[in-house]
Amino acid sequence: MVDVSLVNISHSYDGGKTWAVQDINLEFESGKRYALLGPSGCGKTTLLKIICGLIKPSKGRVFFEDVDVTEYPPEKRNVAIVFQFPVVYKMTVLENLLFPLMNVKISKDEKINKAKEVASLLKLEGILKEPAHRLGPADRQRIAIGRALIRNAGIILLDEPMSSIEPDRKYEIKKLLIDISRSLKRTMIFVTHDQTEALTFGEKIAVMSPKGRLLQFGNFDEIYHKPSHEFVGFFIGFPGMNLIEAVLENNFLNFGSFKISIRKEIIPLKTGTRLKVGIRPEHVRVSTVQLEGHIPFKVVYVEDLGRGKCILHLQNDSIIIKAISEKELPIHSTAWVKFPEDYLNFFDESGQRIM
Amino acid sequence: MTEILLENVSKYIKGKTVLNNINLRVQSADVAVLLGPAGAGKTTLLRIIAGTEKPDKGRIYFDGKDVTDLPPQKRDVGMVFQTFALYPNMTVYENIASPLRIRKLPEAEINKKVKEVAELLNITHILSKKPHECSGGEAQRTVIARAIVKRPKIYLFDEPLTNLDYKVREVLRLELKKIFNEVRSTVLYSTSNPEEAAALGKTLIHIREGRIIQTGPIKDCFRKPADINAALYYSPVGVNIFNSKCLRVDSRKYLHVNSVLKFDVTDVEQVQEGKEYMIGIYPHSIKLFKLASENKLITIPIDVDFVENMGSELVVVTKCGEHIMTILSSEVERLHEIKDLKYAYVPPNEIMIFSKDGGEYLQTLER
Repeated sequence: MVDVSLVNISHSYDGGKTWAVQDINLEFESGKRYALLGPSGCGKTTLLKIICGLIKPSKGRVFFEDVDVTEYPPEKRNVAIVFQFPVVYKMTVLENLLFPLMNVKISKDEKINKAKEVASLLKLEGILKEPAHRLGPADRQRIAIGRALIRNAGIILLDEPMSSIEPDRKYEIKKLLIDISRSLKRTMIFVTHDQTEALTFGEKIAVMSPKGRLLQFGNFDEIYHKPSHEFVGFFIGFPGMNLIEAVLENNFLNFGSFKISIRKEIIPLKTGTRLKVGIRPEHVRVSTVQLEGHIPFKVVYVEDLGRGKCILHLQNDSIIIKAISEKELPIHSTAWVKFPEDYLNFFDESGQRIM
Repeated sequence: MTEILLENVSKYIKGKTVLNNINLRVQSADVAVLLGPAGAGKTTLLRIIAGTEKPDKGRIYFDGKDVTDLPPQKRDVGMVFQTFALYPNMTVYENIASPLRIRKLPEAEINKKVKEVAELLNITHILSKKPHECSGGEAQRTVIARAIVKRPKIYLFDEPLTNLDYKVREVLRLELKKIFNEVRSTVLYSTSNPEEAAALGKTLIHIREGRIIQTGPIKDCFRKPADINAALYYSPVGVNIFNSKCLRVDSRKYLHVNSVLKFDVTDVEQVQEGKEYMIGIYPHSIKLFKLASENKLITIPIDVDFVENMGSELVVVTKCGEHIMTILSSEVERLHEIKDLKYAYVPPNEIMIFSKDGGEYLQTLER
């Protein structure tokens, strides 16, 4: 139930020689679900620790509502964390849920009522008397989430909470987290390297670069259709976005071995501008017959995914792109390719999105 | 170009049967994928072929020649493991060159061969790095380069992509495909990922609990899984399994799952009235629509319960009566309308019927 703002946050573990995270500005609105997504080593966990107070950032400030909490120790922040490997105490499930209330001055009955409320949300009612440490990872993680909820923490941070859970129960835990966030309106921040988890859980997703910078903060539609950086285009989706170098020439994009015409207003830049054109494999149109405005490519490899979906690797001179097709095309055959204008993305030579 | 033949191979480790009477022929120049869950015996099988492990029973032949008692270095096999085992004190170049040095090749030839494979694997720029300076992807490329530089007769890959980030996997998978194309040798590749198996291999060998369950061209196996458990491993999101009973209503025969999920099997002779069967439907066989259809596809009313967004695909978990049905959809752009869709369509030739006991594949609803 708390807004969190990170303002100009940078952190270095070695006195400024290298930066784990750099110039991060993020605002998390109260009651919403967020995901912090990036490859391993991108500084996601550092950010999480900065929010909960385990690390004081080298630069920048952290605000909860309008209060500057940068100097607050973790226990003053009322933030709950759910870790990758669920921690439970060697007690019953009920005792585990009650544990965070030990020093809270309410009657025992009230505590038990609260525990039961949380247990029903997490569907733990049936196993309240069982020893928690004997349960499997999914149940232990539900208990850990329960302990985070019972404290009434305003912010719940989840650090790769799915990675130790049995594969066949991941769905249940993800759904549970989303349902809880909808019904209880707690601010939840979910840290993960897995795009599926991030895109499924986050109403908004912060995508980090491998070097600890924030590349984009937006909902799925924005990240998928309008990646702010070529890295985001490639990182989101499987396979990732095709990136092809081109030069803008009046009403054409010149790819070297071929040109395609483009409306001037789509990209109002000077003739001669060098750029990278991005298009997702699923948006590349492929035909086996010659069509108007289509460019001939040779089929070099086909990865048949075994479920009515193939990844075609297509080549024209030195340009190789991927395209998705339901049909498997023969190797060395010609595929006629079109890049629909609406699906084109443009990046400058440093990888930043243009416009 | 070598044919591998295993005859009655068994292996017991600490009183446990790891491989149970394996009979297997891998054709010369085939790319065969060993697909199965962790603990199925994949690694042990590869090690027995490489010669680093001895079978307790059975014989191994390369091109008809019995190699069971040959040590690994005499078998001419290149093996890539899941873990990136490199010599830590040597550069990437020296790591790749090491098998050639053992063969005492002239320096100029070593240099030429190392440069060639480095080019193939896009690691020319890291040849002077030490392994600890490499990323996971670079280290695994180096391991692959070292395995292929001596151009062995047989290539064995033990889950080489498993420990890598999924984006590195995406890139390296394609490079492996290029390499398999280029070497034109016999390749045996193990994985627990059906998508990787389909993308890379020609022939499937499905292994479970130390036994070979099914072999054949990959797509044929996926379409016609040996049993319901095989179907589970042939799709990255599993398979929908429903228990059903064959009931007669008027003059027609139905496989009845629940009040909304029932399939007309009047024309399926093999299915007998009063008996129970399992129905299996792959999540990718099902499409979602707003309205019920009039055409030949089978229409199932559903309620969307949960949508998982994988970036380029959605896993849609739906409720169909009291049963759960999972659907794999490529329509990420329709993410926001998916939850309002009420009908699922399945082509009858993609609804698989399995026996109730044993889960053996019988046939599809319509051939």
